[in-house]
Amino acid sequence: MISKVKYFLLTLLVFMQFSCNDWLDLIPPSGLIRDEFWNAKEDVEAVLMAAYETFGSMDRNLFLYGELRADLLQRDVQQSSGEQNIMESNIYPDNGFSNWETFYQVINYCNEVIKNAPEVKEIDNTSTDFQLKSLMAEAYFLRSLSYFYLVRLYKDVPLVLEPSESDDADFYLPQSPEEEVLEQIASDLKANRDFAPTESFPTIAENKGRASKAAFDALLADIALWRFQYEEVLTHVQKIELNENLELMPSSRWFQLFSPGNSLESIFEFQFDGNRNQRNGTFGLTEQNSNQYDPSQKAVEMFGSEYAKEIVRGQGATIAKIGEDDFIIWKYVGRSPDGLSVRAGLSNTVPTGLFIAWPMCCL
Amino acid sequence: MKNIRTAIIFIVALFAFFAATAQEKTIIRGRVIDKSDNTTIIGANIVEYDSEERVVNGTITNVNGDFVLEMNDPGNVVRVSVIGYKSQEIEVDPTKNIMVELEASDVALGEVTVTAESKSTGGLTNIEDRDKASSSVKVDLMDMQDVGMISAADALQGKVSGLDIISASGDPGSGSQLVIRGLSSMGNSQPLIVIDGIPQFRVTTDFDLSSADTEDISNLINIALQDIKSIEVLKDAASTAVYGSRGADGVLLIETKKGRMGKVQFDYQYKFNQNVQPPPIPMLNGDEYIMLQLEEWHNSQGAFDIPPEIAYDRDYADFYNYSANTDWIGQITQNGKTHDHYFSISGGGEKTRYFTSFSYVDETGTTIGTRSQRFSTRINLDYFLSRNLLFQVKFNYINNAIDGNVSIQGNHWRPRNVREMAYIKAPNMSVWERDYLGRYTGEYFTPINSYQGDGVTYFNPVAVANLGMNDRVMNRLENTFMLQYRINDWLTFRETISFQYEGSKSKNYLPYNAIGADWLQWNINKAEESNNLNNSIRTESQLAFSSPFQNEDHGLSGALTWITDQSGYEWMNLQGNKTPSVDIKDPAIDPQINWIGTGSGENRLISGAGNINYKYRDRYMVQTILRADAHSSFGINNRWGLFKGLSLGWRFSGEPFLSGLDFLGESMLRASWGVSGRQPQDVYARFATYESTGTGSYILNPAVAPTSIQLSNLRWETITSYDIGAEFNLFDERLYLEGDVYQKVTSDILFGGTNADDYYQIPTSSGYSGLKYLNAGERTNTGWELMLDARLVRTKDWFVSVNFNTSQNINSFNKLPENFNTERSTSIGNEQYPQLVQEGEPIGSFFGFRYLGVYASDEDAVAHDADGNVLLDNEGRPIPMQYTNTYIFKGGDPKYEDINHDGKIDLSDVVYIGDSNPDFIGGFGTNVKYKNFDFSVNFHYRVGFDIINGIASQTEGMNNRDNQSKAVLRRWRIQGQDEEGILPRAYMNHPANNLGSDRYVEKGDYLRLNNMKIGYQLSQELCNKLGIRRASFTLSARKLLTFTNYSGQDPEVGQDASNPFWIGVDYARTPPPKVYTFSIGIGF
Repeated sequence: MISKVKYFLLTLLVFMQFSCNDWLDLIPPSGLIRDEFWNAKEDVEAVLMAAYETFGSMDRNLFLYGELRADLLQRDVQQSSGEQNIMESNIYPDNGFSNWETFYQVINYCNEVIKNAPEVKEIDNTSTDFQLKSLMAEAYFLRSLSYFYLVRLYKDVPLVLEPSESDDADFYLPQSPEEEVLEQIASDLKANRDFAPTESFPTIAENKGRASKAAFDALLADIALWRFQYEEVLTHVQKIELNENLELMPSSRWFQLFSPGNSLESIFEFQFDGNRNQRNGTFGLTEQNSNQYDPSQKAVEMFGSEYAKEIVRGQGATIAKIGEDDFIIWKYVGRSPDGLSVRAGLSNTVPTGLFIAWPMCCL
Repeated sequence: MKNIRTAIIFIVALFAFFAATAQEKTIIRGRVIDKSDNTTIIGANIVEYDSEERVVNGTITNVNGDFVLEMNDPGNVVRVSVIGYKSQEIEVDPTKNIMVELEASDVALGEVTVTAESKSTGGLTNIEDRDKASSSVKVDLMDMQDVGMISAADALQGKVSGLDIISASGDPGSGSQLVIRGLSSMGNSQPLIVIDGIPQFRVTTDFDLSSADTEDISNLINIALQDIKSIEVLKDAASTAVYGSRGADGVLLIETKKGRMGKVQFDYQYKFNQNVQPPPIPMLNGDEYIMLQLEEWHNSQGAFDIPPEIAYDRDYADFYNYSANTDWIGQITQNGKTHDHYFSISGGGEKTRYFTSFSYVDETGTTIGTRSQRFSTRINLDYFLSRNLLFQVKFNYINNAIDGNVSIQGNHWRPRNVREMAYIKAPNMSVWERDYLGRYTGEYFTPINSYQGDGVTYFNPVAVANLGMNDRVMNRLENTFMLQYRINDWLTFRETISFQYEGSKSKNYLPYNAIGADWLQWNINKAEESNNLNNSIRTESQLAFSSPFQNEDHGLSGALTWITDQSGYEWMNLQGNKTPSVDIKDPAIDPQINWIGTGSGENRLISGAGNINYKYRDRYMVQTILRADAHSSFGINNRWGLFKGLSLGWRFSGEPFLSGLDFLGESMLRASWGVSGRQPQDVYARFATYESTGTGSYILNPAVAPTSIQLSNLRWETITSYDIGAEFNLFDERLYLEGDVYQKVTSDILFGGTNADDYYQIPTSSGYSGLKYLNAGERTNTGWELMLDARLVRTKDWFVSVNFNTSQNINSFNKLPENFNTERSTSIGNEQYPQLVQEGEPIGSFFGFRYLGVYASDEDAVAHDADGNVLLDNEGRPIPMQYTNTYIFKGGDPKYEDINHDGKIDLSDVVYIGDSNPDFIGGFGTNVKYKNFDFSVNFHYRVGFDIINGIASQTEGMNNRDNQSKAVLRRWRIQGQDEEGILPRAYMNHPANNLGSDRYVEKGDYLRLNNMKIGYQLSQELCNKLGIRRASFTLSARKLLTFTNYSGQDPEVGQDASNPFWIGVDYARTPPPKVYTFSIGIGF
């Protein structure tokens, strides 16, 4: 009898012999975890690319952030109610359009790159100081660009300079005044300008699609302009003028600025790859069937040929007349001044120009 | 498999009985006679007892009173006994014929009533039902086999106090929501379902094929109702603690039928259900709709260009397509039918007992294009290898094919299903396309752009239902092996191994001619396929002991259990579009691949449990449970969770000082305390993960982004519950009363979930929208329950019983997490209700404006002060009422209460307007049996709650191009109109005529006749003549009558626990239909 009980307990023990904690330690099969990630410079570059891609996906919203509350746009039937509310200055906190989430995602990715790149340098022997500093410079550029938009839209914003890594961090940060944010990004840009790449990539897409020294100069000039520091604007712009790779395009080539893009005039453009389902938002926004926005009366007065014959980028270029009283935004969609021929094929994947040498304005 | 088999054989071999050594047998023989009249006594017991007074051997006397007994041991004692005579010990003498003379005894048996009470065997605690000091209710399902229900959840509705069941939507394949004693955690967690002792794993699907409402295949609908013998609902933590982390929301123990000793029995049952949908909300027809739209435009814009779709223009090419009178709801509704076949075989002998069943259910839904076919089979086999060794095999296979309809999002903020679209689609649009002369072209009318919008967002619901496909096929296989060895009288060892495997495949297809989209658009001919595989292996080893003491006064029992559980899942999803033909519906056939995703994961659990129960003198009971769980969701610091339970019971009816009270049967007072817990569903949530971004690259360089924050503080959620209850059995088992008072406190609540929408929101300045999980806050559910069961009449021919139960549950958030944003949405606008959560208040409260009617004329729309005087501005003119600062109210506009009397309707006028939590829920019913007839009726009620009639707010707003209900025919049109109950005027894009207010808040209280049944069973003589064992016929009806003041379609609105801001809004999913059933059952 007792021996039988002993046999039982023995069998029980046999079943219990595997180490409990090892068996319970499971790692997600379909993703990398932080402990395994930051090992090579390619990892640093990958996160930087995610920052670019995320910023680029906002292109439609970047256009609207600037134009909705200005007077060059007019709503059409299919405008979403959120955007309508912003246009009417009836803004509530739950309006999805007013969410700054994507900006801070880009900022977080840049912070991760900035924090982890020096650590990767220790681990990865194939990386050089120069390569990593170049990647960090690009991260500083994107971060500063994000903060610049944030400051222009929201004025005082939380200044986050560290990546969010675990739930121990304090997520509830106070706002920092506009001046402090602008000071921070201006100093970041100035410190890293010389590490930025210049024509160092094999393809035009990469040279125009990634931050270059000229992009740094252009952004610094824009920030200085916003802060009314006119002397400084001139210093930065002069550096761009001296850049031999940039040249203004003739007016007959107007539509090429937008399609195929990446022109001689362009300093920095976000790139979109049609094979990867990346879409240029401004095309979808302004194409005829979307019925979302039209040029307003003011825009027609500024650019329409009845009113402003001599402006090269006016009617037939930026806007087009398609009916008796019917105007549409033409520059992102069209191929020629007639107002009818639309770009062919996957034209919604052409790069979005963000900076053009002169003049620097969106419409 | 091979290893398992070897292991089993090894165990069996270890504990094989040693054969008893053979001995020389002593044989005694004799005869038993009555002493007084020397007649022989037939059937007297001759029993051999060993030195410990245990029965060793025995025999009975035959027709002549003779007996022959082969004794195991000649030294043993032999006694003769028979009813009616005094028992006698006889001398063992193998040499002569023993004559036994028995004296009659004075004991005569009076009338004997035999009441059989079933005892649940096994389970993780081996406590007898009558001794359970924790709160649980057992429902016997044998009576409900022939009622028109498909799911066991329907059988429980209104029967168990404290269990709130919201019926599934009427579409086949959708599950019900079960809530036991209030919602205690975030996330829609359902109670744990345990079938025959095996907890069912919950399917984890990472990817859901864009369905608008969360309908998942509930485990309960996948068990054939006729297989279930009983369901026991475990309510308090002391009873669910034994199931550890998975039992935190209550446990349903389902017991299936087993074979019994006896001749083989065949049973066949056929049920036919007719499902009829309750009448829908009447909507406008085409002409009324056109008039409404014209009025909307006119009121808002004065003179306007009439869009050709609503103008009367015979030259318009689509004139005939826009001048129809289509009843879209009627077009997509059909009467559903269900055929339910069930066949079972059961029987057994000395060594084996078996039960096997086959079931096939074919249900067509009440919306066109919906159907479900379920085939299931079950085998329960018990094999007694010897007196002490039992081997059980259970096998179960289910195949469920569900056809449904595609939901389409288009430009809307969420996907909409066919029924939602049928409510809002313009009734002047024709279902079928006509050409300019009015002739049918044979195609559905699906314009690319119509008056309401583009052809994808405003699709043709009939076309989508008939041409689109959203099918799901699920296969589930379950195997359990159990070996039970009775080591000795008080010690039993049991080993169980079970496998569960489930695979499901969803296919989704939308051809271009079902929606109006340009041929070049990306969502043409969209095909989608999703495959999910889930498996789990579970082992359980239990050592149970009971009553080692000789003394009857003390009873000790208990068990030690060791459990391991591992489960895994894999999924793959493939989306393609622009398949070359509408007949090619499979994305694997070379279309443009839009998206491919895969994922997999695993889940592991180890636990050890022990329970000890002590009973003194059958009156004082103490039951304790301790269970430790370790789960792979947690890091090494928080891995183990400890769950405990303690219950005390006092059977005061057994006390000697109460023995004088004849009317008191077995009654008990009990109290319990327990702690159970929950772990997050997502096993990998605690890691900081890096994944490819949505499109994966930027200028051909791969892009990888951090996607979640590391959760170093993730830990178990704990639920502590206290319960005090009493059970009374009165008047000779005629009246049974049970009452409970309880409190459940959930602390370290796990906010968050597997979908990004459920994450706990943190400021987006962190770079993330939320944390996957956060432990914070505290929530309490307090309530009481009362249950009554009376058997009023119990004679040979009549049996009448009445049952009643009621319960109340109050929940509140006593502590919110730090920095919790208590105002989810403070925007006001049409159809928007601001959402707030307040510490100490129950969740589910609504806030909004107070609606006071309609302004009869422009002059009435002025501001008043608190006394009712008109407010004047500094020039003496009345101040007009305004909506925020943007719109001035005019005659015909809705009148909202200006709480602060400032002349403006804005956020400061928002007040509390209702509560979605019911005050009381419960049910009652009666059961009457007369000879071969039986009749039963069941009601179920929920009172004291409010519903926001969401479908009314969408169909009475009159401010957009959606179709509206017939209620808008009574709208304001002329200045000065002030009839009672008039609706505001039609006005296109009005900013404020449909604000979230108590206009749409209605009392949802209802009493529903859930079930009514009349049955007839063929008498035994008739059955014998026909050569069958039994036959029965039943007619029944479900959800026949609903007594309610609610004007929407169905007041059963589910509760959503995943959202502390949830409010009960009725969005008109397919309502559960009325079901009429006829069933016939035959047994051989």
